[in-house]
Amino acid sequence: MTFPGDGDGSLEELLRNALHGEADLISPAGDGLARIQQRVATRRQRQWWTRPILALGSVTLVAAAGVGAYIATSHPAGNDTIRTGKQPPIFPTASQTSTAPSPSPSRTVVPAPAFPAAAFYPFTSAAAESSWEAQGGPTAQPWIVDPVAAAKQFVSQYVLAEHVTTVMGTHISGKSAAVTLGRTISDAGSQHPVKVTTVRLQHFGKAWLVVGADDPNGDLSISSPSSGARISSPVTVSGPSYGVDEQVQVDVRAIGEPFLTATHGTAAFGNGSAPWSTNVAFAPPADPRGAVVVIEYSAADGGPGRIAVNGVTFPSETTGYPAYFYAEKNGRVAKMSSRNGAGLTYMTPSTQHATDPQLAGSNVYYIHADAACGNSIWTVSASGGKTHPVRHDVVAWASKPGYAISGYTVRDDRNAVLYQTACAPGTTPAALVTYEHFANDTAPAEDITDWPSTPPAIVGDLAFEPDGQHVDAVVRTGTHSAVRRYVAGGMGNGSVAACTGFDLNSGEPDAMQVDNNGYQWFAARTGSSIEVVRCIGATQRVMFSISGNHQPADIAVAGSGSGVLVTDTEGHAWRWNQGGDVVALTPSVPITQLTW
Amino acid sequence: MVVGDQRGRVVDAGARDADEALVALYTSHYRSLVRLSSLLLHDQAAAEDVVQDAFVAMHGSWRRLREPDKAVAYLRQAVVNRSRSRLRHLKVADRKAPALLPADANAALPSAEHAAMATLDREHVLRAIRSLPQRQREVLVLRYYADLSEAQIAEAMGISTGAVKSHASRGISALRERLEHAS
Repeated sequence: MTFPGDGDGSLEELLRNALHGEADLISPAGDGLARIQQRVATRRQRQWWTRPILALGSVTLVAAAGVGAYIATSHPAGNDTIRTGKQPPIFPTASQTSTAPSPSPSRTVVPAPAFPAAAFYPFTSAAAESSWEAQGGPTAQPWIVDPVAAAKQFVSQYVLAEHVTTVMGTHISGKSAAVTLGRTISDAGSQHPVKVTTVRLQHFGKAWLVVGADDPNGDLSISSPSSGARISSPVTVSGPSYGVDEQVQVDVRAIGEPFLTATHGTAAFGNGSAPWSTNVAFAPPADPRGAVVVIEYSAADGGPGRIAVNGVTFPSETTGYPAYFYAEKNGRVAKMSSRNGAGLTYMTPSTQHATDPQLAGSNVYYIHADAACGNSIWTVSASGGKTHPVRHDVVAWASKPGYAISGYTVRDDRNAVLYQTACAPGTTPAALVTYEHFANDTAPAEDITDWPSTPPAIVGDLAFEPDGQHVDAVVRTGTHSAVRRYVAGGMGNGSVAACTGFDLNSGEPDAMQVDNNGYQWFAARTGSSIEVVRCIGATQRVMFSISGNHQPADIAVAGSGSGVLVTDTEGHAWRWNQGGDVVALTPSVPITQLTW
Repeated sequence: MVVGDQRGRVVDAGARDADEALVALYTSHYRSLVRLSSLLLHDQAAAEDVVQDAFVAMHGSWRRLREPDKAVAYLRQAVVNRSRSRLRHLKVADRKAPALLPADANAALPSAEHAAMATLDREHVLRAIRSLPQRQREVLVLRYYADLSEAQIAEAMGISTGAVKSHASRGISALRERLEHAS
């Protein structure tokens, strides 16, 4: 023991460190809010039934019932010693309760059901589901209200087993469903159907939510992490073994992010091996919930033979938004606290001017000005390290001579779209777009599309849609701005209006992004506020507003829309998360460009 | 009927406010309150129960609290009181139950990263804190973990500031004595 004993200052410091160190190890389970809301709903329902009785009953009955309700609902422990005086006020008295009106049917309070603890697809919170409902989601995405269609979408888009589409069994009971999907397997010249996975779903609101998937034959299962467990990287994934000579592939995923694990975890078993187990490292996703996906490929044809999935939660479950974001600060990329905007560490050196950071996977990309006219895309690991330019063979993500990149979008380290504007007025073309990609998924390639004159011009950054084939952008003509949708390889060869439900007279879009569900978000200036709008198909909805005549500079949407950051051209920054309020961040210097 | 309707609308609006306040307060304070309760109880699952109880009670009282600052004070107070009650209950259960494993053995095994961080010094300090009388332990946790002022501690514990000073002084002295003895 090294306690110095030279005064209480040292002891106090030791005490403070010990308590904070111990507290930092405690990470509450992610279902706390759901459990509280469920109990509040139950309590409301009980009160609703109690009121008419109280109104009609005798004074004695009223008093007894009121006291009973007080004890039962407000002080479950029964011996709570909260006092009056300086303390928060006491609970409603029996007489107060008795004067409450009997609720009419139109004012009936329907208790809100709890969001399923293990649900992770296609929504990760009750707030996300309810906002989807409010925006006409069931009409735009009818597959979400159909358990069989939801199961098929999950297996093809989340598990990425696109050929597992044959429905081989369906069991729907009340609010639960199990859908068994399979495929036709080719083995020694013959073809026969096999069951691959049983997707388990629960009904919540109007949506069917996936809570997990099992091997229909029970041969493959995940014993750890358990369903709903909170995990951080690296995670040990293990399960019992049933087989002769088998191998599983293990990934951690979130909505729209199949590349959280840079390298698949693999584990062999059944040939003298103990139950399988493997460690998987993954980049922290922006969404608060995701899943561990385990796939065993068939020896017969190499396709998926068994699939098991357990829903998990990530550390951001408690707050609903990622702990950090990345922003341009003093001409450098900096990692910042999402809680208050405080700067934590610089990611790029002071000798390099860096702007417009964008997080994709586990890397932060940014624009580095190489010359008076001309710049290129560089990258640095989100966890820190050496910076380097992005280059595939001889193809660098750089501006063409006489041009500078003014906006871009990056899908991962293989695909990007760069919007470049001429440095000198009168240059033809006035702008051009380069699409950096891999031809036939192997060789790096670059497609260039000229924009002969501007306007129309792209404002701010573009945004890939989850399919990787389409790109959305705010395009300004001479008189107004609008969100347009392009084919990534043919920008300039025509586009269609996106979010047609948004009335351009109600605000001017200035910054936009696409979330992992493929919904478009943009920040529009109205003259008296910034309105942040989300589009599902053609239907728009104002998700939140920031009062004041601010001009949006950038918007960053976390994961499938669990959180949003917005900046204005004066360097103010705000954070919002589903179900929460708008919070003004207080960075030490103005920030205009950010990402998370 | 008119009064009833008017009151009914107020009830609905109040319920909506309470729901929104619940989410906002949960987002900003749930984790720290669970940690506070865990430090008092040395049992995370029980701490989560306690804090959830407190939030449910706070929601029920929202019409009288209305202000976030009052609600936070209420939550803190409820967590301290309920943790104390739970501890009392556990002690009674301990007496009736056959020998239980030490609290440390019941705790989840720390990860390798956490294990590396958990120094011997810290363990000694934490054991010494756990051995203190309940009120002294509460005062020290509220002061040195929650960073509360004497007045705030007094409010949270429902005692006078003089009593807070007394418990803090005795707690520090006892802690010093135990740590020196341990060394």
